[in-house]
Amino acid sequence: MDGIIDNDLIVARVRALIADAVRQPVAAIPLDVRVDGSELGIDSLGLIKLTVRIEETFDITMPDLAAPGAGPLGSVREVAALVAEQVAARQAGGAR
Amino acid sequence: MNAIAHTRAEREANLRSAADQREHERQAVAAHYEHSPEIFSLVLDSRLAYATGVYADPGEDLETAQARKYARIAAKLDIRPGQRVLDIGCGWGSNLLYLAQHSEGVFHGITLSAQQREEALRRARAWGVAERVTIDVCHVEDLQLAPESFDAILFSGSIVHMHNRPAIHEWVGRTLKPGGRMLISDCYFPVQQRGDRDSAATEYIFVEALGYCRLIGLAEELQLIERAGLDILHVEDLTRHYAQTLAHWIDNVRRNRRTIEAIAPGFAAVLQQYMTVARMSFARRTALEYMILATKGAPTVDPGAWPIAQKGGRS
Ligand SMILES: C[S@@+](CC[C@H](N)C(=O)[O-])C[C@H]1O[C@@H](n2cnc3c(N)ncnc32)[C@H](O)[C@@H]1O
Repeated sequence: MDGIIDNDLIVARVRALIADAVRQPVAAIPLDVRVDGSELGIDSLGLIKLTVRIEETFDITMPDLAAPGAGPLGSVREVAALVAEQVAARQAGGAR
Repeated sequence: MNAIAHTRAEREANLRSAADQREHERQAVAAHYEHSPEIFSLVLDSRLAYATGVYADPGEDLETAQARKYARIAAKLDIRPGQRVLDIGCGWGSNLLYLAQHSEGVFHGITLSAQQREEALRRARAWGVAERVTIDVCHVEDLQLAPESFDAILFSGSIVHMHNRPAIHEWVGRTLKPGGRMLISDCYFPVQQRGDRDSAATEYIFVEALGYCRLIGLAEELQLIERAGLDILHVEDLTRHYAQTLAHWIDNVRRNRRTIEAIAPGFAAVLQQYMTVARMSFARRTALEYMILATKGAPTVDPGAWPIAQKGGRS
């Protein structure tokens, strides 16, 4: 993804990727639902594929799911915030 | 054909005739390795090992860890001048060419991929060992070799693709000369099942990404080796090392995502996804990596004399 993207756009894109992953309309994905919880029902392969899609889309590196002590992914909003943080870091790095 | 099946892919394999399964492996497994060597050169170490490295400490880089692995395999196989070595599933020549450069042995490799053969032979010429190296595109079960005609047989990351293990071990037992060595470096299931072996993730890595894989228990493999008349000399766990190797490969896929996508659209995601499944399996020890050394008759090396670091000391 090129150019400066704002946080609302990131939330919308992340939500759309999650909706794709569970084959649901975007409106069916509440922002506070846990991405790796039973409500969405994404299995471990689904989470891996989603993470790779997010990395491809935003040109960032997501936290290592296999790291010792790796925490759960959190809500849609939290994942979007994490992405926004990474995108901001990349853009700050790229501007140097 | 075989008793215990752990996964859907294995159950399907058990329903095929041996000849049909061989044909299935030839097609399904080769597909992954037929991708451009240029892609793998962006992801793997400079010799293109598609197997675990050996790390002295977790901070080490991939090139160092693979170099240590090559040297370790060379020490274990202990190839003397003129000895004949067979590398089953030689890939792009990682171990085979290292061993050719570091011994005066004579080498034959087989792979299911013509692309791999071509790249390995190109490297053999560039590195001045071509006169002692031959490579064929061939399924292991189609090899026609005289009994007791080889001094060493190597399977690095390849036996996992072979369903018909009893036949393969019997063949190794026949083909090795007395004093011959076999080395396997590959992936096994723990006997006490941890994790779901019929999960979408297992199916993805074993079938969708890699064509066909059959993980058995370490003890099952060792028993087949012993039944074929070999003695087990040394077994070591490299599970943590494979998790580390995969972390390096995944980072390299990330770094080169655009280039890989330009060569083979969709393949960067396949690599990152299957490597992440594998990395998580090794990190959680739902899959285990072992290096096995066995001999036919009296051993030429003595594992009891190999260095193990003393407490507070260095190896
Ligand atoms: C993961 S790669 C390992 C390559 C190499 N040994 C290394 O350590 O870098 C697996 C290799 O096994 C080969 N292979 C898999 N099944 C085979 C079979 N039935 N007969 C011959 N080669 C096979 C593949 O073509 C590929 O070259």
